[in-house]
Amino acid sequence: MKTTVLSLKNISKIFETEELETHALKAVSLNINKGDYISISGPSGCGKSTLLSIMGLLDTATSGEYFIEGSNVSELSLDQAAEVRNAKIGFIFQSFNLIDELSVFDNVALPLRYHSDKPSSVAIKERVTQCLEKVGLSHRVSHKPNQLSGGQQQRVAIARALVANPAILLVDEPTGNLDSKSGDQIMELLEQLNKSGTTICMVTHDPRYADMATSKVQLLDGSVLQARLSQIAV
Amino acid sequence: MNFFSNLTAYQLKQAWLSLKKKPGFVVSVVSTMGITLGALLCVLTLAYVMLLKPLPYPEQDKLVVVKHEFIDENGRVDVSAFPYPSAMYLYENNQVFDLSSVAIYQESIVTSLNEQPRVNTAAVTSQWFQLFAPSFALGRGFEQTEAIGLHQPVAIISHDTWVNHYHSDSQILNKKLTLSGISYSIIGVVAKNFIEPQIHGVGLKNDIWLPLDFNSIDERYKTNWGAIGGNIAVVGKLKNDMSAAQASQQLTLLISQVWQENVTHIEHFKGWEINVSVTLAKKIILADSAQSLYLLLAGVIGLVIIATANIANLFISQTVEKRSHLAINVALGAKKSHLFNSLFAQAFLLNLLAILLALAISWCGFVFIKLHLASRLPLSNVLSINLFTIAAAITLLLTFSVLFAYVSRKAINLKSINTLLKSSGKGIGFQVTKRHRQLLIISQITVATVLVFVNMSLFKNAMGVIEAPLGFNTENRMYLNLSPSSATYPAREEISPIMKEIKRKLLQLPQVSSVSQSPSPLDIFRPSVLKIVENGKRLTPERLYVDSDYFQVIEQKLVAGNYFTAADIKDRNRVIIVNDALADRLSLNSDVLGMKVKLGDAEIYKIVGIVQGIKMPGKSQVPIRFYRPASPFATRMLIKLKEQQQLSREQVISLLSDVSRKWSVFDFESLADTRQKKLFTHRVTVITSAVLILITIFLAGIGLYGVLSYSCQMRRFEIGTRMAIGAKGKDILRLIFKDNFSSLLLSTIASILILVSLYLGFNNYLTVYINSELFMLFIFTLILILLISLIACYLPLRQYISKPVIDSLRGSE
Repeated sequence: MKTTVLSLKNISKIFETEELETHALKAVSLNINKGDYISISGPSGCGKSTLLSIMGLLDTATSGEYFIEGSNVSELSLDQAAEVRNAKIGFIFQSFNLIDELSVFDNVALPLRYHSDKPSSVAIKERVTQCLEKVGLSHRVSHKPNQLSGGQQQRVAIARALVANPAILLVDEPTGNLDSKSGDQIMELLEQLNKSGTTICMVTHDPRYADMATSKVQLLDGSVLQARLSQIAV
Repeated sequence: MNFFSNLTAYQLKQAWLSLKKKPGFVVSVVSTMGITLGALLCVLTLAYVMLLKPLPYPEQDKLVVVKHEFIDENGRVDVSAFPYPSAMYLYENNQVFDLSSVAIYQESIVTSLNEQPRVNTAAVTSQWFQLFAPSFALGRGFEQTEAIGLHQPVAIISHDTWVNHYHSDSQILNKKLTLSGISYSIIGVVAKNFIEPQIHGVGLKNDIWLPLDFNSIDERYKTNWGAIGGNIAVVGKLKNDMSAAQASQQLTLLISQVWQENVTHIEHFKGWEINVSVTLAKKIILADSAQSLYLLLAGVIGLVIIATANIANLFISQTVEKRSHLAINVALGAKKSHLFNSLFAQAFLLNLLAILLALAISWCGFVFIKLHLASRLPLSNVLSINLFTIAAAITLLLTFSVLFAYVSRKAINLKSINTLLKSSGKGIGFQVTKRHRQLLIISQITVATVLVFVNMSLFKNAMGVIEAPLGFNTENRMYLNLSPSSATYPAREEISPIMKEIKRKLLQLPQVSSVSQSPSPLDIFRPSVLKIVENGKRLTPERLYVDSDYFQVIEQKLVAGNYFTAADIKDRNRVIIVNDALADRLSLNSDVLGMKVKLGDAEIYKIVGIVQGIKMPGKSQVPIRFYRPASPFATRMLIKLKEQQQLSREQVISLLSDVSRKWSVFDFESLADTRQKKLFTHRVTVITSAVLILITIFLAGIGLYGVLSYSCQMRRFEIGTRMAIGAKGKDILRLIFKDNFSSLLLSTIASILILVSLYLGFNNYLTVYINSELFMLFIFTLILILLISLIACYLPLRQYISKPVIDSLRGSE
């Protein structure tokens, strides 16, 4: 029996302005199990990024329930959400979001510095080196992000996402800012990570990359259009 | 001025429309610049009036004031004042002036008016009116008909006196007014616009001018070359080829010999000399107030620096916010100059509003200064919004408009601005370097720390002085000083029974608790020589004649011995009471009580009591004083009222007229009021420094907020990313604070350096303020600034750390 890492139940998100109400997500339900590699795709404005933000606790849903590894995380305070993000979620952004002033090592180590366990510097060094080895960048530890190519920067971002040993990697258009060659390399890396047991949920509008995932979820106008039956809890 | 000619109505309109959408920005800029430039205009105008503007008198650059200095046998100036014969001799025999005049300043009571007001009078020679050429609302000035020796009883009144005491009576000419029993015919009313030369003292306005013949100098002093018997000034207009230094030399020669001849019989003046100094009238009128002006200017410039840094930063943030709008303009063909003009139009409009507010504020400042600081700032009576103010305002308007347009323009990197249109706005093409931001922060904190610290020291010092106990009670105590209504002083034997009767009548009033026939402890007393019989040691303490009730009436404590008894007063016993400060100076391991001393009259007196010393309001030291039994013909009284009771001047005048018509009320004032008046400078310091502290904190707070808010805006994605990977609010706050800690440290060092150099530069003036408490005050200032910095860090971060993280990350893709 597979363990459920992440479970969304009837998640809705409404953006309100003075003039109009936009239903970005309409009662979306989704389960992600350990070891899954899920792609979420759909046309621009269908709600994929909103869904990923809610899954990553970067945003809150207007209604519905959300569980990570069995704990209800729908009503967390900002600080509690930060702790959960730190411990359970690894983010990979389209624009890498590395901090220019910090070296590759420090960028990767950053989640550990915010960790509630406050790991020792020896432990941090060991873990950062391990993660950088995984992404093939252990020789670039003291470089600054702007000294690296786009593909290398995204690898650093992946290493950073892995460093706190999260339950799931949330990946938002990882190849959006890369040329096709670098994009392919990143997708290969993600595939390898999944094969070695990492749970991945990826948002992409590129059907070629969406197909690389083991399961596909398609969104249209805030609703799930097509998904593997077992993942939809109706 | 290319930028100005290019400023079109279209650009101004666009700027106005864009500003209308940003009321917060408009209010911040207009209020900050309005307040600070208002203060600057006020001080600049004051500086112009005091230092640059010519005095409003004909040939003012030749107008001089003559000082007569007594130089003692050691070559030191003992006193600078005219004996009457010296002044008259100089006036009559000098060859250095085209015109000169003697003025004798005195005080008197107008007994012909019901309210019997106390007035300042000046007995002058007729040339006074030629030298200062006042215009007249009615009548004329003194002429040859009022020359010395003609004894014409005529008077000229000031415009204020005419309005306040004669209700602007248009028929006033030839009406009579009575001063000290002499009836004068009013022949002129000085025009309202006449600015009196305040040679006698800053803020001292004259009410009535009399011919010199009617000066009240005692006949004994009129022929005594060694005595100073009145407040005499000599003014003159230098001859064309005469410099002040030459005049000084010639007049010294003129006076010295005659003076020496006339004082040869006075032992005291053996080896003494006379020096006559001639100084430009403007310098005398300014006295030493230029220094206060420079301090004021330094404080205001500090504020302007803070405000400018703040507003420059706001303009930069504002430009960054408008980046896409500007990028589109560039894409459509706008050149550098177009961008600058559009930024200049906005800056110009805002500064125009600010300058209008500044002019209004400076006008209020002028009114305040005229009302409350006229006695401290010479020439402040001529303050008004004048051509200089307007010229300064226009210069400031243009300077700040160009400056703010320039810094906004510098925030745009034209080469990369086009990429904005392609990217989703990560701030490419618009940035203020980290170094620039740090510089802004350091300058803000440094100036704020120095200003807050200096003002807090001034505030604390002045508060300490205001709150310091005097050592006696001023509440419910009135001081009454009587003067004869007639020109001649009544004989002593006549005075005594009248004073006794006045005292008895006062005691009968239901509101009066007790009366002492003694002077006010707040008066100024002349030092008098006191010599210890045993060892011949000489001291010069202040001397007061008091009666047996004096100490109880003002509640001054007895430390040892006894107060005067009624018999001491009645028999004028040879006993004195000393204060503890004097007792300390007298004691040589021996008892002060019972000690024998010699006073000026060479008689031997015995010390029978020691009282606690009292301080004068505004002074930190207890003056050494001794008290002698008062004479029964003393004309000054201290009245202690019962709780919650009042006694008016009118009631006293009425009581007095029942006893004798020969006496009038010269002074009648509550001791508490006198105390408050003496503390006026300190109160002004307290208020000014408190206001400056608040404005500085407010401006620095806004400024730091602006810089940090901009910095957070620039780091929005970084903050969002950090939070996405698990950073909590406090982690982000710590990060921002840590990043700015080096600036804070540098600012602290810079402010210490500035304070130390201030101390080294102005050592002489600052030693009074230096004490161990200053260190604590500096620590307190640093904590305060640290707190403000913390708040300034927290507030701009709040929007990022209290909202879902996605808000910060939006637009980063």
